[in-house]
Amino acid sequence: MDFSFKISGTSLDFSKFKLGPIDLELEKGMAMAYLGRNGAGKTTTLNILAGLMSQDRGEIEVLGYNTKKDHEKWKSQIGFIDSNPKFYYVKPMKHLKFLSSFYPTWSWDLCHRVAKVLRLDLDDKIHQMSKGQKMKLSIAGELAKQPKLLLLDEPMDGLDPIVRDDFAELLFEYMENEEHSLIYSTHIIPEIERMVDKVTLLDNGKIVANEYKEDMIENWRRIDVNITNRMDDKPFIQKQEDKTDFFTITTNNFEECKRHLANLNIGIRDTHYMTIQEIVLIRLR
Amino acid sequence: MLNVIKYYMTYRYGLILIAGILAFILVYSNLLGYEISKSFGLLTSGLVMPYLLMFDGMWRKEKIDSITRNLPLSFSKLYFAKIISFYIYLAFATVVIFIVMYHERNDIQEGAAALSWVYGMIYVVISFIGKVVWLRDKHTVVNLPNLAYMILCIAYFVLLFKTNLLSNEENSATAIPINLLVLLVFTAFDFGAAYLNRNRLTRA
Repeated sequence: MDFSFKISGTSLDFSKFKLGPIDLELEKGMAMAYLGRNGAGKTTTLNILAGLMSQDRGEIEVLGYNTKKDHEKWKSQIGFIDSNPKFYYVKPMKHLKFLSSFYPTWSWDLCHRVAKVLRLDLDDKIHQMSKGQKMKLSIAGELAKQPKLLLLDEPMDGLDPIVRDDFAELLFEYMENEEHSLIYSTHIIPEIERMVDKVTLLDNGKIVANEYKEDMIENWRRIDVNITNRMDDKPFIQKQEDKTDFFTITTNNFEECKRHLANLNIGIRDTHYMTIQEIVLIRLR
Repeated sequence: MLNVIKYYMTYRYGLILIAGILAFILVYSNLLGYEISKSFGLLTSGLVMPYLLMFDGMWRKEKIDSITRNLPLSFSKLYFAKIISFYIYLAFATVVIFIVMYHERNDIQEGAAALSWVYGMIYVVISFIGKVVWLRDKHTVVNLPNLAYMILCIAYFVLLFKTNLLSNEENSATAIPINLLVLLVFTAFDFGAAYLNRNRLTRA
């Protein structure tokens, strides 16, 4: 199987925080949501994948290259939309021209189209731009590279709802190419639920969940059961809520939970699918 | 790589302009018969040089790295693009400051010697401050070349004042090679320190 990136036994120590060890991989053509609380290590992971930081231990492969070598080869095939974008020149066009000189796959057609879709004025000076406008410029530059792997770190920051929607459409279009992959870190989960194939949760520097979205949605359910007292705790029972005449159980393993309830002769009133947002909230609390 | 050199140079156009205007004022006011005082000459060079080297010591190592690090270039290419751009500017500023010094002393060798000491001292002081600031960065690893660099800075001043090199007129011929050597050795150590920290993200 072809991977867009593969992280093996990777860790990085700071004085007050340790990331990892992490094992994580993403197949080509897939989109991954990379979620977690503030300070969980999401940005650090993306910085490592972008080659802006280096791990203390472990190996990382991006598009088949070891990230400690061949910087020119793999870095020219990735794009990184950062929540705090940096620019090389004051004038947007000069910045984009500078950027384009390093990327053989750069497309001016795509760049202008993205600018048009996002209603970005390339004549404004960057220091006069709002945060949202700067983010749009960053998006136009990174998408115009036509990268094989796109890293996104809070890209919706500062964008209005209409632009967010337009940006999401651009990402869908980007993902139509089977060679393209993306890893998306955000706190605005509903906006990416439709887009991603995999969901990875990070908590305090460790990966606590890494599943295909469909599996996650199948495994996690809310079940209304005919009991009046709490059940004994089990690994597959994540939460129990007393609803006066019945209980609602949240499980991360629906099949096992169903078997367990059948063994105890407990009747099921109803089952409910959960959104990724609901699952993440329970998992990270 | 040429693009990156050009990019680094862009941030120094303003300084080049300041240095050029100062040189213009100094040279042409002399030609018009106005005497430029020694203190004014030293003041101008003393203002331009620290500002210039502040860029080298503080800014060059800090801010630019976090931006250019995104580019698909190897560390060596980025570092040398940065160093080359700095030396291009340094060469230009050297000419400017030399004109000032020469007008003060009316002797090429003395002017060059005085200039090299000004360079050497300010470079060492500012880059020492730059190192301290840099080492306080939580992402930077304290490594041997960095420590050696700082020890060299201190050794430079100890040597300077113990041997009384500055005040000895006969030593003016050795001033340029000494300070040139200082610049090269310090650059080598700086490269070593930066190389060991190449994968650490500097402050944005």
